[in-house]
Amino acid sequence: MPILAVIFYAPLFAAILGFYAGFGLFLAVLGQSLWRQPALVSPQEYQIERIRARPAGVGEFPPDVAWPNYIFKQAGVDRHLVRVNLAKQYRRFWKWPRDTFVRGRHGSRFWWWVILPVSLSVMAFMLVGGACAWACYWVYWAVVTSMMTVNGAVAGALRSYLRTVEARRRETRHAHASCMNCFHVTPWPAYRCPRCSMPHQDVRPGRLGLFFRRCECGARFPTMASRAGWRLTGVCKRCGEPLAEGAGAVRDIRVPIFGDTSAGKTRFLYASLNSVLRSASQAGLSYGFPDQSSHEHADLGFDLIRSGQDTAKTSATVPVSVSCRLGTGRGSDLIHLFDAAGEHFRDAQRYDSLRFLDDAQALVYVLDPFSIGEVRARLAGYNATVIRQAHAAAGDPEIAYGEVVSRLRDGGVPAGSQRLAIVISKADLLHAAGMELPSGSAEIAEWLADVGQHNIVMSARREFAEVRYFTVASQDVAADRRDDPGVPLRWLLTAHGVRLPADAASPPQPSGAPRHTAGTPS
Amino acid sequence: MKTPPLVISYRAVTAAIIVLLILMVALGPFGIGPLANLLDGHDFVVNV
Repeated sequence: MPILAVIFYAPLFAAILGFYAGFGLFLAVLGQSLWRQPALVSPQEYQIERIRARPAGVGEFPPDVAWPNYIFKQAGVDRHLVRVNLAKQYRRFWKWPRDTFVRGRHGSRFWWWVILPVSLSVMAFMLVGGACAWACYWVYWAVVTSMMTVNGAVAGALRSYLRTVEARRRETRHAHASCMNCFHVTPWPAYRCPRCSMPHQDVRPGRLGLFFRRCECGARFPTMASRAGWRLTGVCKRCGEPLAEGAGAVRDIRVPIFGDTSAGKTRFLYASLNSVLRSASQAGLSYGFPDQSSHEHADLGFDLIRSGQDTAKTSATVPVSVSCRLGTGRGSDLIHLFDAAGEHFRDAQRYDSLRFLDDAQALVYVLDPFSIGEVRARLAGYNATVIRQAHAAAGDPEIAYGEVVSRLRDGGVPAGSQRLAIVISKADLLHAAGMELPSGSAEIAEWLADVGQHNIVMSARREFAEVRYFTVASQDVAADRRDDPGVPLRWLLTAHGVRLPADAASPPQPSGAPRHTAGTPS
Repeated sequence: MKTPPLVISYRAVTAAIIVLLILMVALGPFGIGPLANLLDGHDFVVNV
């Protein structure tokens, strides 16, 4: 009877011990797999895996090197490692019983089976311990799998939502980032890691982080261009040059100015910017220049306008761009004005240098009235000195206009995506020569058609979302400000959401350069 | 390579959940946790 009791209770007691030993075994394996000897998926390994899954296409960048979100990769690796380690440890525990009872390596198997309570107890301990450890593993598997599924679904939904919000914000705020070095425009630029300076090509929410991303070097920074633009340095994806602070996060309006040689494009650029910045300054709106080159160009241009000197002919090699930041911080707007020598608009071989035309939201076509044959004919015999001073553009106004429009439409830029301001320059000289120009947009269009430029008028109406006509003078602006060079630029900017103060009540003073209210350009 | 803090946090939370579940079961025979209710009244409950 006592022997039967021992045969029954010894294995039962061993099974209870095995029950707790199973927990212990699993916890030991868990500690080993997650802390003592973990398998860490490095950013490079994850990048290689992503490239294998989906190789980067032409013009695409490979995935960035950053730590992936735990649920997308590391959780699965940890789960696998726990299973492998548990199986290995459990096999190791079975080694002695297997060698002893099955293979007979520790004496005759017969004698082991004679002392049945011992054998049964060991077997009960091992079996219950193993069952318990594996049960724990499957609980762990269920927890990790459900976490991966639920978190993955939530992360996927959040990712889509954040990307949609960001894309919508980008469209409504015109927050694409533009490079003033190569004129490349991108919805989201690359950003340099604040610690290791490695560029991250795509900081949108995704597998590398929803709200924040951790670079390979360990630096943590926000995702989404609207937030990263203020914490990181944006760089152009094409040429790698640094972009203005807030690139990709703030409104970015690009306005190319085109026209024939000597039409007055450069003068219009500085005079219009001068006017807009002066009214902003009077209203207490701060402004600055995001790069040294823009600052120097603007200073030089404003000085010329102030002193009434002629502007030098624009270099025929590289187009000039002047960038300006209106306002400060997150509510600021970046404005880029482009000026290329008139030769670029006549020569199809120079199309590459006019890339800035394709991504512009608005354009200004500067038309020299003295280049129109009918105008010259009407002025014949009037003030010859003034006509000489006008340095009339030699080419037909339709050529430069036609070249630009052809380039835009051939390049796939939709007709309804851009606004056009047609600016009749040198209004002051025309007035001095004895010819008065009408003031309203429709009247100017009518006047243009009347002097033989009906092709431009007809085409502009068809080719652009909205067209307005202006007359401008860089020196002697009429008392009613109808020739203020800032008016066309102000219309184009406000049409794209730039908040500008209402025109100052006082008459414009083209002879005064605007006053900087913002700090020094960075 | 240093393990990112987020990975450590995720692992810690997962391990904490597992330990909690294990304790809920393992302490059942001692009259603690939900398993104790199932085992209540049976001979093999250890009275502590």
